[in-house]
Amino acid sequence: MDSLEACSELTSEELERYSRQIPVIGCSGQLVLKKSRILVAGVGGLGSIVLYYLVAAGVGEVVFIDDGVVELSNLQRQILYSTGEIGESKVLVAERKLRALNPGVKLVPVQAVISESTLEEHIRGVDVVIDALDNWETRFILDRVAWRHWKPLVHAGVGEYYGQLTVIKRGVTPCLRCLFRGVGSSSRGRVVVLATIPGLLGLLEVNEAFKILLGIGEPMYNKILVFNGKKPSIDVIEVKALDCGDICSD
Amino acid sequence: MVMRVVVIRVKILETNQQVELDVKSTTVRELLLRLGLTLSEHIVFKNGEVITEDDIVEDNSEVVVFTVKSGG
Repeated sequence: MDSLEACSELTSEELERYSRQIPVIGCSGQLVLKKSRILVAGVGGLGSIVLYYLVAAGVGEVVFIDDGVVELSNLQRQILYSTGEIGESKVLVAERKLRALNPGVKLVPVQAVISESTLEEHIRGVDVVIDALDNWETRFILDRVAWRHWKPLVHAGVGEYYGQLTVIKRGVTPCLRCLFRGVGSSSRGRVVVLATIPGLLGLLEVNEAFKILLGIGEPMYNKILVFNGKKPSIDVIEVKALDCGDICSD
Repeated sequence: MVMRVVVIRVKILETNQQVELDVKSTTVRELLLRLGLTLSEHIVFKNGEVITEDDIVEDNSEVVVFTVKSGG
């Protein structure tokens, strides 16, 4: 589709709203975002920033799942929530904030425990899945369902001054369970982290999702980005082909 | 007679440390134990491949250890 045709499919409000982005990705890129559907698992530190930027940038439909309520200890890093909203459902507060930010985006808040059946219900028709979870047990469930449905999965995890990020794609990379085998799936400790770290890693997750959707650059396939907030550099570990045996099978 | 240098070089990303272990061979489990690191929170790479607890690391190897973070 040529750019003029693509531009005619955007409203005048959209052309103005995204006028600092369209010169970069084109009307055709903006249309791709508008027609895209993303699932975000978890609406905490990573999820807050992920949702904010997906919605601001004009992704057409965003499904977000979490069963939590806003707590005082969330507010240091979970930027979607405010002091007056303590005790309220996270996904419902998030929906309210995000609708005010960009009414043109279809929001699908799901107040539920992230389980295989919840994910199965919402993953169809999704273009990219974003892992914004805080424990490996649920991450590996997300990985299994995304793998089963051949959906790209953008993973990040954070703690203290650090974080890691990678992108899983069936047929291209090993699954998360294989790549991070040996990691204690039962570890579900309290998150301790510098406020900026989930923000930084969350933004990198959105950037990966945009690369995948728009077909630009090089997604972090078979690479693990390791961020150290105390260092002036980022490490990238290249992952060679792994023998996963049956680890990735359904 | 030529003396062999027996050493395993380990790069620990979190602390940005380069450690040299003077051993001929070791398992990943023993290697992490020597470094005071836990198995369940660390991933070890050798030549770009993830190696797990029972895999052997031999002398003249270079491995990278990184601490997997679980928070979100």
